[in-house]
Amino acid sequence: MKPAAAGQLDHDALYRAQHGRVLSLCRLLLADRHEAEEVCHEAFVKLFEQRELPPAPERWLTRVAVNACRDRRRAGWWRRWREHGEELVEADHPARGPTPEEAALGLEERRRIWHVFRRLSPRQQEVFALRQIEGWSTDEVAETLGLSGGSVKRHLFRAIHQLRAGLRGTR
Amino acid sequence: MSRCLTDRTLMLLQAGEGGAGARAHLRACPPCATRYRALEDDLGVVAGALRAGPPPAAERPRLRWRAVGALAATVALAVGGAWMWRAARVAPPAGGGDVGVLVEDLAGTLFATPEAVATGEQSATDVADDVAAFDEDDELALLFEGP
Repeated sequence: MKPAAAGQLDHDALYRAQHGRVLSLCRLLLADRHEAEEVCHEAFVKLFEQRELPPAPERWLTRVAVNACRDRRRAGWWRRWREHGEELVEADHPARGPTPEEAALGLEERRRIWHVFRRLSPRQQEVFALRQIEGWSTDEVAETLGLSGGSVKRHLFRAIHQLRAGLRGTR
Repeated sequence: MSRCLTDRTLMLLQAGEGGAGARAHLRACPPCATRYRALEDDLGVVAGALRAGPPPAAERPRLRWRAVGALAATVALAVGGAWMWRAARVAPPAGGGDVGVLVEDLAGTLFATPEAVATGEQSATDVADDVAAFDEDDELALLFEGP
């Protein structure tokens, strides 16, 4: 009983520590709260189905979540549904109140940034999210996404270039 | 002083990479330092916006467009339906006095000879002869007979 209880404790602690981060990442990549919650849930279920926790469960979770988001984006039905329905959900049910950081951002600027981010290629989105939002190193991003370091830098540079151009358009 | 850093090099430096020479230049070159700070500021703003989630206001235009689209579709359906209803509707004969004229026009159209059609002529006697060949009541019965 003791190992099981300890394992349960690990799962609970891991879930509490990582759920918000993984959910935010999925929401960023999918731009849909419900889809993000589903993918996040799937990732944790897959993790807990492992006989043993992987050595770096945070990175394992991230890799599974990013791959699941990519699979969802590739599905044609998801794209059609997202383009026509998802944002109404976001509009009607804001996830939480604005933080001081959010309040400081102009709404137009924020909208513009999201617009540009969604127009990035899926790879650019993934690289930017992992590198700039998650704070991973280039090597970690490359390993997780199965890319070379140079490719990660190229995707990151193009993403930053487009996002800054979009940002300048609002200033 | 060496040449100023490219945007790509600045990005690499911001990402914690880049060579020692580039870092030294960044410390010594005020314009590059200014560009570097601008890059950091922009990335901070972008990261903050993305962490905050999709902006609710961004959805409103789509909602409006959907409403406009739904309204346009409804109007198109209404107009199309009205047009089809009018097209399918058979105008009843106006009265007894007009039946003869209606039959004459119809008979002239149905039994016009090719020559008359080619020349565009159709004499009144031709029409009268054709009409005379039919009993008026039978003609009407044929015209308004159901399928």
